[in-house]
Amino acid sequence: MRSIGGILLKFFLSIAGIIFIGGLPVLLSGIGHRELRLQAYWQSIKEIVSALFHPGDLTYVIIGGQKERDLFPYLWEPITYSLLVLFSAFLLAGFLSILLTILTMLFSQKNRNRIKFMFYLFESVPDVLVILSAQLLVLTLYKHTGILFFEIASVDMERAFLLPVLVLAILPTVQLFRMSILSFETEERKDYVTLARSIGLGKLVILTFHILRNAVISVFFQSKKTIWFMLSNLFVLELLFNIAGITRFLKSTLQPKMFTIAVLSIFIPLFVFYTVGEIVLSKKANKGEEI
Amino acid sequence: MKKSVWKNPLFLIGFTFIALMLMSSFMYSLVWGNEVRRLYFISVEGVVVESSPISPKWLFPLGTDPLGLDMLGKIIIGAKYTILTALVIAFLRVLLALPIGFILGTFLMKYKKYINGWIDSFHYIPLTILAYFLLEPILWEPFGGFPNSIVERFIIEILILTFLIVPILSALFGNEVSMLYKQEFIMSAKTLGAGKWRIIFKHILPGMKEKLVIVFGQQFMQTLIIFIHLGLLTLFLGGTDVDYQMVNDPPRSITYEWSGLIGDSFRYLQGAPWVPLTPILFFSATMLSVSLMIEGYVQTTSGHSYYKKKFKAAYRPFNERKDPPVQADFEKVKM
Repeated sequence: MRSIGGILLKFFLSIAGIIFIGGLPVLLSGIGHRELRLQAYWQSIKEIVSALFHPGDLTYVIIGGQKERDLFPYLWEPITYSLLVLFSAFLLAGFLSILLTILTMLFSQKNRNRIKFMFYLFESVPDVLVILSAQLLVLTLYKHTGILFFEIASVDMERAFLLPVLVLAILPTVQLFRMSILSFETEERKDYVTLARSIGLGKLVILTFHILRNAVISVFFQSKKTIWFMLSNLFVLELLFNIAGITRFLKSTLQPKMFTIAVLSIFIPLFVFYTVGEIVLSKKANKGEEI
Repeated sequence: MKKSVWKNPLFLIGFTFIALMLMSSFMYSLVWGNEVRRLYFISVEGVVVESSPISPKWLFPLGTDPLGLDMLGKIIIGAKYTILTALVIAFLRVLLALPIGFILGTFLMKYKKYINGWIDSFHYIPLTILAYFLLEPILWEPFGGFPNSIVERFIIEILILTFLIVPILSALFGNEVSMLYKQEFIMSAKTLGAGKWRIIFKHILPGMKEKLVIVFGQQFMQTLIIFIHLGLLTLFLGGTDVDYQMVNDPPRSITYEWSGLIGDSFRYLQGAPWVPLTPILFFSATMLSVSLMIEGYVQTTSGHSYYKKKFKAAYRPFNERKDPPVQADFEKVKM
């Protein structure tokens, strides 16, 4: 079923969806005066589509600035930087959550439930609080030891990288942990685990070699929500760390065209990531479902 | 065995916090109106030792903001706007998404792939930015003052924040409904001659009840997160009051709702950390109580406790053998 046609169809449907959403602000811009601007909406959708076919012609004006600049060579830098932060944080979160899951699975059922409950509560901490406390922590460390462990904000030339990645990884780790522990526990009840146990394999061996490769698949398919959550997170992060990334660019140019292009620049790499992952994994196993 | 939710300690802790916040908020407004205590400076023997923002003191447990207003008072006044609006938004989201989800799950499952593909595109747009994009022309006070009243702005904001999530939620419900349709008890109900409506109301809705409550709680928390983010972007609930004078005040909220308290207070993070931290901590506490309520609810309904029991029963043979083997176990059985 995973034919190229199906993938392309899904790709274009999603792009159409993004274009329609990108035009929404125009549609709703008159809502304060109790009117829907359908005509302008249609106009702006046409504009967005034509802009997509001629991206080289696009220019943008910084708010308060006078000069018009070409969009495209400029936009690459924030895009690559934001995606780098996003993907590093995501990979870090995935790695950490699986490590934590394996550690937790080694405990008894009672303690496991306690750990799960703690993580569950931790999940309800808002991202802003995490970012703030990270900044405060680094500041106090700096005050006490005189060593600045991380750059807490980006200045013109230097870009903070390590701390944003770490901070961005915290909450997704917790979310992925919840998914992966659920998936591990359902796998644990399957027959092959009983078999492995009966031939005398150790708990850690079963967890890392047998359960892990089956459990990871369903976690991968569920992780799309986490990425979505991370995008909003990334935005706040860029705001508070003063990083000139793609999400900040999204905010600074309130034009449907720019908005759509910036969203597409996030969408396309993620779509490629998930499609490739899906193809690879569905060859390895039956989509994480029981065979 | 079903227990009442009201006897679950986790649920009660969460519920008590939210109820207390709401009640004290209404009481405060009844007794003192929307007046907040002010404290500009503290002087000891005629010498000013501290001026606003004043750090937390016994009488001012959360300190004051740079204008000398008591943080605790502002938090209490703001609680009702923030919590009630978030509740309304979460409720409307679930209420609107449910029938659409039923339609998707009942009639449109053939086109599931296309619908999910289209709705998938929502998953790549950071929600905060989209909300900012859509709400900015409504909530940011233009030069000549707002063209519409505060009630209207509240309604528009609630509607926009609701409709942004409805597609995703309906897809979620649609998948859930179509999963339920494949269950055996639906099959048997169909065989016994139950009509479409009866199946929906008597079989599928009760099957989704627990999920609905959980989703409602999650949406409530998500709404609060959006409020925080919009607060950071200085778009406040019910409109941002912008000062267009030459030497202007920072943008402020028309009510004392919590996202307005976050506002641009981040520059005080080093000098007066209680100013940005207080509203965020209260946001966190509210979200924590909601998640406690969800957990308590899951524990009392079939969910957790049932699951735990089942799990234990299935695993006892592996983990524990109640009595250690004794000598008698190894003796030959006499026939």
